[in-house]
Order: sequence, then structure tokens, then C-alpha cells
Amino acid sequence: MTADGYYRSQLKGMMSARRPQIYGGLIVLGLALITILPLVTTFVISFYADGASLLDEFSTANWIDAIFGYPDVILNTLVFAFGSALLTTALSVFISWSIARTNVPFGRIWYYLLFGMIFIPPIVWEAVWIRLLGPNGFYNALLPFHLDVFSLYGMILVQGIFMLPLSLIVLIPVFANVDNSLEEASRMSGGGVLRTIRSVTLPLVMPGILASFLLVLVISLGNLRVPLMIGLPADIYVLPSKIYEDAVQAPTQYGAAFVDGTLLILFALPIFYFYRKALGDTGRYETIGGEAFSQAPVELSRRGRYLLSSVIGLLLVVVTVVPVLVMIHGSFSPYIVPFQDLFTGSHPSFTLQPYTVLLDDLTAQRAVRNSFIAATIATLLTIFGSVFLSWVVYKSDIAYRKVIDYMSFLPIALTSVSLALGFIVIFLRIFPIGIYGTIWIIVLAYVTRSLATTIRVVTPSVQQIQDVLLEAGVMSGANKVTRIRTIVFPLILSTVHAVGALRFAILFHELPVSLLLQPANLPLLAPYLYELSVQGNYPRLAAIGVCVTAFLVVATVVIHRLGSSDDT
Amino acid sequence: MTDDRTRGCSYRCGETTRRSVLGATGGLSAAALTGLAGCLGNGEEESEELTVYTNIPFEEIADGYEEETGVGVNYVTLQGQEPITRYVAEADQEQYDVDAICCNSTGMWQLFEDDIPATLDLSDEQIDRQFSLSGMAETYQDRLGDDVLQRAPPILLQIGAFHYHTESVSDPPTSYLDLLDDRWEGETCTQPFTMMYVLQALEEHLGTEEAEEYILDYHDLDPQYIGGGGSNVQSVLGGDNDLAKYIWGFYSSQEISDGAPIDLTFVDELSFSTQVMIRPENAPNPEAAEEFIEWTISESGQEIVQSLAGGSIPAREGMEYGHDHVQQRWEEWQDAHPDTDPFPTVQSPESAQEYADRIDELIGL
Repeated sequence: MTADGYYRSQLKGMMSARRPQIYGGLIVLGLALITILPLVTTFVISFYADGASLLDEFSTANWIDAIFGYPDVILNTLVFAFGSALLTTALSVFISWSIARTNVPFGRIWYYLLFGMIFIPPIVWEAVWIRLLGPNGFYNALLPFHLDVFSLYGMILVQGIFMLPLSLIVLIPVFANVDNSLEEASRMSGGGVLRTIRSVTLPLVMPGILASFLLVLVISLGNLRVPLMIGLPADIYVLPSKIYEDAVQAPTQYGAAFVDGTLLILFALPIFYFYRKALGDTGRYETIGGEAFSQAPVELSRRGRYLLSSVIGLLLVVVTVVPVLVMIHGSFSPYIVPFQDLFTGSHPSFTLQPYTVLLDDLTAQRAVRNSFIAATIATLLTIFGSVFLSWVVYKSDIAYRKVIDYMSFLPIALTSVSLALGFIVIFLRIFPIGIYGTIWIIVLAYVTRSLATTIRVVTPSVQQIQDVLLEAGVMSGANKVTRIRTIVFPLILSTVHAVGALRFAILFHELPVSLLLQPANLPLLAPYLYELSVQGNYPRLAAIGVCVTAFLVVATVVIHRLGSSDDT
Repeated sequence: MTDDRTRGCSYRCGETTRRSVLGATGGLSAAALTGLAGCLGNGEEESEELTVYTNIPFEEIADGYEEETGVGVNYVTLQGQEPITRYVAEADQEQYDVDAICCNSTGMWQLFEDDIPATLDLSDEQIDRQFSLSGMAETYQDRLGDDVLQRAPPILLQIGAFHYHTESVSDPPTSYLDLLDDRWEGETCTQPFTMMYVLQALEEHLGTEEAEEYILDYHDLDPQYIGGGGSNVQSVLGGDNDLAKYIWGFYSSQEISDGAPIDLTFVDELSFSTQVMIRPENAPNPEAAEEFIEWTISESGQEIVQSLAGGSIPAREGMEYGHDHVQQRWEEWQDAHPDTDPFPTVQSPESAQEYADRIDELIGL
């Protein structure tokens, strides 16, 4: 053997022995590029950006301006996020308990009605609530007092209600998995319903509730829709709306924008830590225990359960049914008409015009097409990425699995606006690889944003794949790719369908990343809806809202059906 | 042998179904990704499309131009001065995706300050036709330099008006001063950025002290500041406010045609601005952009501008509002003020900064 051949063989042997470290290292590097780097970049640039320049001299002036210049904005941000999370959690705990833990009638219908809210596009949702709680809003016409939507509590109300479906997705399984025998034991020892809830059910579900609260909190911290639509007209600024103005409006104030982006991350990081901890505790307190496990509902009296169902039904009418009716009503009106005019006889004739003009609205068509394409690509990449990372963490011998697990979760702490800011610097200055100003930067940001929550849903399915199946694959000589393709994917297909449908629905009308990174020549749906609202074109906005909602409902049902036919 | 074949078949059959499904899914996904990526590329077919930032309804103009020339116009409708501020912010980062900016003349000084508008090849005749109102060209040149006429041709006149709900307002106000009555407390809305132009117009009519006092008094009456002219009109129609102040005349044309309970009056202290077309120096399709701008000031382009949003008034000499009722209101104002020329609100960088600072100091906007 020649010396060259010897060294080559040695190198090959070393590479082979180090393969887990090399692969693990590459994955860590890839994840760092889209998670750690935006985070660090946002922080570092906050000391260097000045006006329209991203890289000026080092200065702490931006931070001093933020802390002493607009503490009210920081306070508004925290009040808005905490208020929204508290409202969502309070409502969803009540609804989840009722649907998952009791024999309340129509529970499934109530759940689907609430879940349907997730399909209503942003901006349309806020525009509808302005119609409900504006000075001449329908609810204000019914209420004995005036509820001003253009206020901090109005913002909290609208955001808190909109986050309900997401919170329910997290909480209903938590409540459903509580072992009923413990509650029965409590009642057998004389505890009433309320005492049983307080002393048995709540402690069991508390980590899940905390996880749900923290998830809503961190999402609300980075929310841009409500602050733009409801906050700005009332001159109420939160950090995301201030970032939006500083980053896309002249005079550009990148210094302030990056400080605010960093502040959002600093607020989100402890939430991220506690969220992960709460998720761990959820698993620790799981009570599934073989044959003794019982999920029988809490039996309420006939009167009690119908009363409870009525309360939930009424709540649903207020937060879902009426807003949807107002949206539909708006979409058939020739111009903006108060909803209550339907009952006063002064209503103009209905018209199909808001729908028919959509056929000629080329910008709307382009926006829908671009958003469809971006959401589809991002959904596919997110699903593949999530399954791959779950498999790496739980089913492979690759090195640095704990680091990979942690890093793949980190984007939760990167609020959408902070992530978008980080991406601007990374792909404009650090790695100018030509994706800034194209749809690809948006797809990448979508994937980064979606990865953590998708992994959370996909992981249990990957975990349940027994090692013996993978070992059988190894025995039969299948390589890793074949094992993933022929063993892992068929077993997780139904989860992939469910999470894929949901992810697509969310990304199809995503706003903050789209608004901050959208190239001028590639309109996207959510920013276009924002344009329509600015123009005051409410009938067309409502018509698009109806069409998009219907499309997403149908798409979700179709994707789910595809999943069930595969299962059979 | 038979066993092997059977086993092999069974293995293959079992695998084939699963593989075929997954293979097909994988293949479809790959094909979809490739195909979708192709749709998104800035390929040759995209170069036939112009990108325009605007703050007025632009659908008719885009459709009209595409119909006449086959060139698509991708427009992004922003609010207030956003077409200008966003372009300046993007130019700061050397991002040049926009071929033309359709913006209000009141804020275009920001583009001139950064030397963004390109010089167009317009004839004197074209310029004279577009700067049609008395003293208009001179004021523009005085504020932004002699070459402004070649760099920012107006396509549309923006004449400030009060838009009011006909069921709530029986005796519509005709002067800014009328709005200081308690009857209007919490019942009016306006665009925040227009307050500096109101200050400028009132200074012309009342003098500095009274104008500033007016701004303070009006602000005390708790008006709602809403971005976007259309949003202000919709706020009136939705019953949230009785009157929208200083909104361009054409914003309720379509609604009036649709029978909505809304009307307008042009105010005594009348001021106007224009909607101008600007080609940025770094437009990605400069020739196509220039052709487009020239078309917007041509006869056919101006006729389409006239139909904008249900009927507006083009800048071209001798053209009227494309809406009979709004034109009637405009003629009523002209009859009532036979010796008055509307005051042009166009800013130089210095005066814009000065007025912005004063408004900020007075009412924090």
C-alpha cells in the first residue's frame, strides 16, 4: 500500500468513526444559522445601527433611548401580552374542562366551531372586531356601557379571543388525559365538583395550563396584527408596531428597531425556558397507567350540563358566530354598513360586487398565488425538517442530540418581528447569497418560525415508533434514508397530514414576517389584506376573508381525508 | 423457488404499495417544489411587469394600462406618505424593486431630498397641460427646484373636502372653524399626517397664531386619527364618526353612486395637492416605467384617472371630476369663491420639517 493510500484509508476510517459527530455538527451548524445567528445578530446590531445605517460606530445610545425614551411602549407590550395570555388561558381552561372532562352536550360541535376561528385571516378578524366594538359597533349598540376597541383592553380582548383555538389544541388533550379514577376517589370521599376541580384536576393539569399560557404569551409578545389595526389609530404603540415603523418607514431607525427586537427576545427567553420546563412537567405528571386508567367524564346533572353547554354556546356565539356573520354581511354589502342596520329596515340591497371584482383583481390573485406557493413550500420543508430532527434526536445515534433538541426549540423565543430583523442583516450583510428581496427569505423565515411548534406535534409520533422496527430495517440491509422512508413516514403519516393542514392554514395568511420581508414585486396575502384595510375597502376585505376561510376549511378537510384513506 | 417468488412478490407487493404511495408523494413533493420555485423566479416573464408604490386606489390605472399595452402593473397600495417613506427606507438598503412611485405632492420632498426622482423626457406642452391650476407650477418650482416639472408630473388633483354622513349631519360645515363647535366633539376623524397641511392652509387664511390655536382647539375635541382616506370615509359610513375632515374629494364618489348616505363639501379655506408620478433613478425597468408615466398623463390615461374610485379629477387642463355629483359640489365652491384660487400645499424639505415639528409640539402627532 502506498503512503497516499495508507493516509486515505486512515482518514476514511477516522471519518467513519466520527460520522455521528460530523453529522451532528453539521445539523447544529445549520440550526445555528437560522436560530442562534438571528438572535446574536439582532443583539449585536442594536449597538452598531444608527439611522438607516446597519453598521455604524459602537454606541449604547440606542439602548439608552429605548429605556429612557419610551418606557410606555415597553409597558404596553408587556400588559398587552400578559393580558391576552391571561384572557385566553382563562377562557380555554373553562372550555377545555367542560368539553374534555364533563358530559356536556354538543362539546364536539363547540370545539369545531372554536377551532374554525383559526382559518379566519388576520386583518379581516381585526376589521370585524372594529365593526363590533367600534364607536357604532354592533356589540356597543347592545351593551349598556361603551367598550372602546381602540384601547389597550380592546387590543387584549381581540388578541385574547383570537388565540383561543391554539390554546384549546394544547389544553384539550391535557384535560382529556387526566385519570378519572382520581376525581372519582375525591368525590367518593365527599368532595363536590368544585372541590374536586380545585384539589385534584387543577394540580394535575397545571403544567399543561402553564405551557399553554406561556405559548400564548410569547406569541402575543410578537403580535403585529392587533397593534397595527387597533393600536395605531389610538396611538398605542407596542414593540412590534414600533419595530415595523422604524424598519420600514422613513426616516429609518434601525438602531431603535434592533434594540426593540432584542428586548422582545429578552422578554421571550425566560418564557421559552419556563415553557420547556412546563412541557417536561406535563410529561412527568401524566397519569396514563394501563388498565386502571379511566377517562370517563365527570357526570353533571341534566340541568347542570345543559346550563354549562348553554354558557359555552353563548360564549361561542359572541366570539365566533357573530363575528363570522358580520364578516359575511360585510362581504355582501355595497359599502360599509353597520350590522345592526339589518334589523332597522334601513339596510341597502345586498350585492355580489365585492366577490365579482375579485375576478379582475390581479393583485389579489397574485397575492393569493404567492402566499399559496410560499406556504406550500414552507409547510413541506417544515414537515420534513421536523420529522428529520425528531428522528435525529430520538431515534439516531448522531452526536449532540440534546443540543439539536434545544436549538430546534429556540425559534419559539424569536418573535416573528425579531426573526425578520435578524434575517435582514444576515442575508443582506453577513451572507448576501441573493435571497434577500426574494420569496425564499420569506420561506426560510416561515420554516424557522414553524419548526419548533411542528416538532412538538410530530415528536410523540416519532417516539412511538418501536426500535425493533428500525432494527428490522437495519437487519434487512436498508440504509437510513430507506428506513425513514419505509418505516418512519408510513407510521407518522396521519400526524403529518394533521399538522401539515394546520401549518399551511397558519402560514397562508401569516403577517409579521410577510410584512417586514415581502419584496415589493411579490405581493403576499396578509400584507395585501392590510392594504385593503388601509384603503377602507371593507366589503372586498370581508369577501376575501370569506373566500380564504372557506378555502382553508375545505383544504384542511381534504388533507385530513387523504390522511384517513391512507390509514385504512 | 415458488416460495421465494411468492415471498419476493409478497415483499414487493407489500412494499410496492407503500413505496408507490411514498414514492409518488416524494416525487410529487419534489416536482411541486421545483414547479413552485419556477413560478416564483424573477424570470423573463416577470420583466414585463412594472411595480408601483401608490397610496390611492390604483386598480383602474393598472388594468387600463395592461389592457392597452399588455404590460402588467403590480401595485402596492400603502397609506398616507408610506409609498415615499418605504421607498426611501428600501433605497437606504440599496433595494430597488420599484419602477414608479405614485405619491402625494405634499410629501415628495423626501424623495427630492435624496435625489431619487429621475428626470423624464416631457414636452413643454405636456407640462403645461398637467400643471393646470393658476400658480401651481411656480409654487412647485419655488419649493423643489426648477426641474420638478420634469421629475414629478401630476396625474390627479387632490382637493380637500369634508365628507359627512347625511343621516347624522343636516347642516354641513363649510369652514374649518365650524368644526370647533361642541357638536363635533368626538364625531370627526382625519388622517394624522394631514394636520400639517391644515396648519399651512389656515396660516394662509388666518395667520400663524390663529392657525396654531385652531389646531389645538380642534385636537381638544377628540377627533379620531385614522390612516388612509378610504378608511376615514368608511368610518363615517359605519357610523363611527359623523364627518371626515380634509379627505380628497374623490374618496366618496363610488359610495355616492352606490346610494350610500354620504356627501361632501369643499371647505372655504381650500387647499389642494396633487398625486404625482415619479420614476426613481434606480428603477429596475426605467424605459418601461417612463412609458407608463407618460401614458398616465396622456389623454387615454387621464380618462382612466377620471374614472378612478368612482370618479376623480385628473390634473390635465380642462378635465372635470368623473362623477356628476362631486363635480356639482366643486362647481358650487367655485361659484361661491369666484376670486379665490385654491392654495397649493407642497413642501420644501425645510418647510416640511418645520411644519412637522410644530404639529408635534402642538398636539404630539
